[in-house]
Amino acid sequence: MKLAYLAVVTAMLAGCQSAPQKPNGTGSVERINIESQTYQEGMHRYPVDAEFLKPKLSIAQQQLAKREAEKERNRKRNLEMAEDVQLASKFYAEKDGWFTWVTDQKQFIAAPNLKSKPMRLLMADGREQIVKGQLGNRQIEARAKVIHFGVLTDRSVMLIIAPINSTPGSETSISIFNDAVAACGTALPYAFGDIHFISKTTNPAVAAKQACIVEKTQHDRFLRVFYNNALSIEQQVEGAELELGLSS
Amino acid sequence: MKRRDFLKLSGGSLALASVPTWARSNNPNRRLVVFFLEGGLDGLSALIPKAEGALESHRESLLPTSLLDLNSHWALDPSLRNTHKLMLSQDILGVHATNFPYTKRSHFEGQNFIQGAGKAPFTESTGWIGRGLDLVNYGGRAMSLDTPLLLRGTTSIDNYYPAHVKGAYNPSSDLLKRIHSGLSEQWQTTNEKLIARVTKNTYQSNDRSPNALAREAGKALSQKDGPIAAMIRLGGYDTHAGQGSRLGSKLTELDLCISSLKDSLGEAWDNTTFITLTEFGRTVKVNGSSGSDHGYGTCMFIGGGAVNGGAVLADWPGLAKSDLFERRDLMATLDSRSLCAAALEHTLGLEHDEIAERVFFEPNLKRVTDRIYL
Repeated sequence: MKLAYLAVVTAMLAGCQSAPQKPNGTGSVERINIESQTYQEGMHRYPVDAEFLKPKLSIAQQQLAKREAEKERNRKRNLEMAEDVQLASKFYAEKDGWFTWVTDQKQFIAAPNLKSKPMRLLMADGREQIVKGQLGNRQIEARAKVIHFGVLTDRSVMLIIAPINSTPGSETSISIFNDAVAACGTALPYAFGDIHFISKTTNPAVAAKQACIVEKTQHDRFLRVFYNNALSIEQQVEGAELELGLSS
Repeated sequence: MKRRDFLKLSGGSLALASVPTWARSNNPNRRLVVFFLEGGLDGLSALIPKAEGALESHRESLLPTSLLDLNSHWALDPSLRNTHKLMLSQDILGVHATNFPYTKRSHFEGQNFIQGAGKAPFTESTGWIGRGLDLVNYGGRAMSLDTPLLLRGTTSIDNYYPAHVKGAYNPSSDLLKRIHSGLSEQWQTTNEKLIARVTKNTYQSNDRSPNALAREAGKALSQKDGPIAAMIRLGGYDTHAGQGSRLGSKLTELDLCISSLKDSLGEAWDNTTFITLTEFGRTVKVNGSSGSDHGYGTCMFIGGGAVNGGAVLADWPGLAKSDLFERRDLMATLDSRSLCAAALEHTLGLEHDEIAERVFFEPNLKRVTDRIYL
């Protein structure tokens, strides 16, 4: 009787086991009905519009094209920079701690006094200092910020100078620079690229002067702020014999 | 590291199937990567049939405000910027209204079916890539805690998972460090060299995001004797609610993965194919939670240096109610298995008929390799 009982139980258990799976898709597990479909009956290739399409290049070709493009960019950049540096050299020169700033036909020479401190910029060398100089017959004591972008571009310099013993508007160029930097949220957001324009303001009466050789960031937020404020100076001192020049 | 801990850390997962150099008879440098988008990608949001009149009436609130145009018919979601660039440079092909012939809308069944590629879910213990590797007598090694079904073959695949992930316990270097203080000065010097060597040879990646995994995969695959296939899992595509921003961030993630894979592959990109797979598409009509529900047809992206990209491939079924599968889902008119078969044919150098019969168990599977590759 026990044997018969065991045989029945064994048979029931065997019946409950699912069929073993087979690696060829023929397992006896209940299959889901696959819907009939019209595969590939009307497969159509919709190409990207020709105006958007770029040539298909292998990685080696892409790298070669990239190198060539970089070469060309550098060539143009060096050319522009050489021209700008040549132009800039007419306005600014620095040697042994002395700098000479030439504006139009006038010359401003200043010697750094002892009050000088580094600006601790991330991407350039810069110093802030008090300078004494002369513009025409006018003696000027001023605060200057001199920034060398030499780390990155080898030749770029920005000089901002604002007399401190003059009218209330004398700090304008320094504050413009500070505002612009603050607006960008970084120390030197535009330190890459080419020298693009030189702006200079010379007006001892208003005492807002700046000589800037800045990087090519026409659409940069810094430049917008800077440029707009430079223009606002022009408006502010209109009729006050301010000479403001922007050349690109 | 415990498996549970690993899973917690994972933003995605990566599995690689490698093969010994001697085993390769054909196309030894070709590679295949699968991005598995878990949850069901809404293909109509990723690759948008913008000329489809019914699109707005079905799902205006799911449409992005800006599009990355491809042509007068198609556009990409704005999150797919790198993908768009690669489509314009003819490295990626979009395929629409496609899927594996699975219509039951279950994540578990769908994912299993698409990896197993049998006649029904849960009938196969091997995956279609694994079976392809079997046909060319590739053994393999999976760099994964669990080898995904997709890569499993009948040939045994070793499981290997590098220990030096963040927080992981490295028994070798740990042991050497423990005994260090007890050694004489002379032996300490030797021990330091040993520790340096052990540390150097372990896996260095600490970042478990899918993007980082794609980068790691690219590096590994680009090696001369590196793995031949990889699967990277990306989760979070089950966008039942608030689909707009959620899907946008997921597509950005995929987009970064594709870009990272290409960058890390270097010149190996020319010999690599990647495909995206997902278990199903989603309903055409927006649901009440500003999302979409499980559907059927979806889109795929196929990319790589050898892919004849710069186009969308589709047998477009339309979005009129009568055109929809069960009057709710995008109809899949292209069998994704054909696309997968093409990727296998190209990567492993197998004949299509053999792949159709022995990998997908579907002798009548259409061959589309010439439509995919140059």
